[in-house]
Amino acid sequence: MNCYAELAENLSAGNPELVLLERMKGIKPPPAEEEKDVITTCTVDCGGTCPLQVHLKNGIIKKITFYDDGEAPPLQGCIRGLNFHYRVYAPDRIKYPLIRVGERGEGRFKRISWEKAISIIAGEMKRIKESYGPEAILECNYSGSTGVVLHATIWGANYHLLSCFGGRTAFGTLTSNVGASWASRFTYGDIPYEDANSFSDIVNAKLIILWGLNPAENRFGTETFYWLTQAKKKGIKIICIDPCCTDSVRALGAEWIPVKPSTDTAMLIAMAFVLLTEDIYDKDYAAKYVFGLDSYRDYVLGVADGIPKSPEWAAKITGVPADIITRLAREYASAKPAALIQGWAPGRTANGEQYHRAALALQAMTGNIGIRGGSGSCGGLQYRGGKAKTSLAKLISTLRLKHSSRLNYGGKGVEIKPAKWADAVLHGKAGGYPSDIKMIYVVGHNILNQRQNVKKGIEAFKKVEFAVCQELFLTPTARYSDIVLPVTTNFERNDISIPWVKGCYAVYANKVIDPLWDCKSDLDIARALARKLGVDGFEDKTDDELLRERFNESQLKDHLSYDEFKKKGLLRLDKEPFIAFKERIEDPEANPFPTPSGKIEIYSLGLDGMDFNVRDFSSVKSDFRDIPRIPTFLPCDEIPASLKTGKYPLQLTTPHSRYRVHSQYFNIPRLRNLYRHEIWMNPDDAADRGIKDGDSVRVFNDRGTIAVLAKVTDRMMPGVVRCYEGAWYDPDEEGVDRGGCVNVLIDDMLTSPAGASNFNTCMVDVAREEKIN
Amino acid sequence: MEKLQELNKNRAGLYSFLSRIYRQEMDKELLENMKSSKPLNIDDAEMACACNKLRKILERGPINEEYVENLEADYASLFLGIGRYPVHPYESVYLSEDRVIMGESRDDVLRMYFREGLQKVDSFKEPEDHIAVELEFMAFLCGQLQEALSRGTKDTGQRLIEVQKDFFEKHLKSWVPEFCDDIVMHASQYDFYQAMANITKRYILLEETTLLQISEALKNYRTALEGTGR
Repeated sequence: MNCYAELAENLSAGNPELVLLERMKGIKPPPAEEEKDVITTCTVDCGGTCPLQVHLKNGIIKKITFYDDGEAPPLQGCIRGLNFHYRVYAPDRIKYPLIRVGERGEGRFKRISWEKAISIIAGEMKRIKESYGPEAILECNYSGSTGVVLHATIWGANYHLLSCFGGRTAFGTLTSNVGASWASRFTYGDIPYEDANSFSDIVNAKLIILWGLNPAENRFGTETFYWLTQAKKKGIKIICIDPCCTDSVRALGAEWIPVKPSTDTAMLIAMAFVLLTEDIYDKDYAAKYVFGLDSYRDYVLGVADGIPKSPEWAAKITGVPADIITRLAREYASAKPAALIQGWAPGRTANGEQYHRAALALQAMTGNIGIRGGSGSCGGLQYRGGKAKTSLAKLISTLRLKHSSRLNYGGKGVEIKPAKWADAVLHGKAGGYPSDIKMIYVVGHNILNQRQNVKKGIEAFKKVEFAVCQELFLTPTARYSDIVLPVTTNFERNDISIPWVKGCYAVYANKVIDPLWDCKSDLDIARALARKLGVDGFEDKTDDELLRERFNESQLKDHLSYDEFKKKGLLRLDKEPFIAFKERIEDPEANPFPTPSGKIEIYSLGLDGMDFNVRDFSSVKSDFRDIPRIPTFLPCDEIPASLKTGKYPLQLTTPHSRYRVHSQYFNIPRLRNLYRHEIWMNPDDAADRGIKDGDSVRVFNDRGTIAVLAKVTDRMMPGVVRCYEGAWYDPDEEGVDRGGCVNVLIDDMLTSPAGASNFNTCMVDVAREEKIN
Repeated sequence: MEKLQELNKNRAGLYSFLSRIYRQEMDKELLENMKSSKPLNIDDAEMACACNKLRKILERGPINEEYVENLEADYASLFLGIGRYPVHPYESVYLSEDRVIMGESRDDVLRMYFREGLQKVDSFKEPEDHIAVELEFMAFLCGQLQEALSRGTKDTGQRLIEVQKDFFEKHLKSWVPEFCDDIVMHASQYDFYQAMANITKRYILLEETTLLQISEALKNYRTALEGTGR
């Protein structure tokens, strides 16, 4: 006890007084033990919107369970949603505004006040606008929070603010679904509703082909896998076409046909060859509803180029034996109705839109579009609505209206393809881009990690004068920013959420707790910035007023009141299966397709007739002029038949993990501890390289190297490896990414003219780690 | 008894000082103060060593803007969760299986603050089981005890030391030493906070004995008082 006096004299911070604690005024009763349940959802980028029941005790989240309203199909959340509170309560969340202290990327920051942070950002925005014009600001807003009305990070508050501020360089396309939505638009026209039957209709098919779709793992809609298991119970044959024997193949007892990545288009075209040469396509249907089959026939049979696109031709490209292609084509043509569900993964390739176009052509030739048990497309996103679904489409459009600063809605600025953001920063106008970028504004987007070619992205970040990032965690992207602002999770704010891949319902995304630390919603940040920038009247109503207003403008109000919806949480809208294009097939005279021919266009007259010079079509869209008018197999530099393969012989695919939503949740130990981050490879490929299961390996090409563990399995076809996207970039001193971020390896320049992103078109090699050292 | 009052005054001061260290980033004034203090001559070798190390660190450079900014960044790296090896200053993180905030520990300290008529101020946007709040609560209890002793209210004194012991055992002792170890282990480049962690840990260990001694002293005093029939 002796030393206390001397210690106290030396270690003193002045008079001990209460700073953090205060005396309560008056006598209060002890806090009541209160238990409460709240219904909400997670608004991450999976498209699901599963209703969740959050159990609170004394205001603290204790547990999250499935919300069961007793109706079918069950809308069961997944392991990510059920563990959402581990994300909310993660101690490594960004808690206060931060400003960079060290070099960009060094990860040294210090805390600053909101006032100071907003003032610095506004000052830089004004300076950059005055010096270089508003388009010098690259707006990188993406899918951190999505499918919601008020707090979307994509096309959200910041997007709108930057347009009001005078413009910016924005992303002109989306990412995962671009191949699908582009193909849909240029095959069916600009349809105001979903281009696919609902998944509840799949039980009416006689044959189901899941092409590059693995809902057992990535879900693709909350109820999707439920309906597939119902189909399995009914005894409907299911075939999966995929380089990997996926969990879906196993769980559904499906037939597995392995195909090399980026070559699906060739296989589909060869199936069309079989239909045409064996005369087993639906001639009546084609005559009545399809435009351009003759041009396609010329291409398929090789009239134009002398190369018949036969199963033998395709076998060399795809690795699928010719007899299997022939058999599959016959099987598909003879089983009517048959549902060919085209997953988005094979479209996430160089020229990925051609895969979707070829798949739609096959569906049109077999007469499977617009009928019960058929298909149409994979569905999702902007194509929502229809008669029964108008409510959702209208909800989305009315809700987005005020935030919609997209160029074709009158927003200000210029657009680039998101995959080429770094190239645009590095090369600017001299490189053919519409602007010279000096500032990067990131909202809800781990852009460095999740766009192709990480190292190029880092160069881009190093080049700009100023970078801001609004984030939950210090992601690799936030690390390279100058100012990082802490945002709320959707559990800390009210919203309305809508599934955007499959399912027809709406969830009131209730606020569960008050914002933690000094976190603010992206909308509140935009409001504060607007005040500082002098943008008058920017979303100056309260969140509650805005939500009520938008709810009441939508057709949701025909079902229940805003307050009832908020309390009820879940509103199921459309219980009968939706059949896409049904009315157009039943009465084509009255309801032609909104294409120039009025038909399903295998030859795209719509593309032919585009005026590439109107303002509406930014530089992004002017690239469309180079895209073939009929579905065409276009080779590229990173498939086995091409030049680079001698150097890097393995094809890399980068699917979505069940434990993450892209790079979200990667840093949550509760989930991270459930799996090893691995590269899957065939035993033959492993043996060639002396690799055993569990070995530390390096995956590399000219763009970079990542270090992961090897999973040696005959579930992978030879020549193809597979590593889940979304792991966080974490380079060591040598520059080897110890985090295992696949985008270190992927080229950013292979994105197709339509904007289909090439995450599954990449050549690599793999070696044991110790062999390199 | 006066000695006991003095001791509790010093304890309140030390807890308050440590609370300030973890509450927010260092400022120039506090650093200057610490730097100008005289070398320690105390019988606890470990504490003396830790304090002298801190002194050396403070003497190393002029305490200018850069020096302060560097410490601000160190603070963010360690306690705001920004660095590669953050050391999260929340009891719940240390005592919950999944290392998240808002666990049972936070509910419990909330109840204990409440029983003493206290609540966390809203302007401190951290959970109640943040180390700075827990240390400040202990400083408060020490101050209360000192006051009680000065007024000769022995029953209150006895109750207050029991609350202190209870809070110390259930909370500070259960995680602060490990928290300090983590700073020392992961934060070799952050030597200021490393030294502070050594001081904090040593102080918590000293407190274990001190609390028993005070409790014992109060008991003896009470027995003595009862013995005299007063």
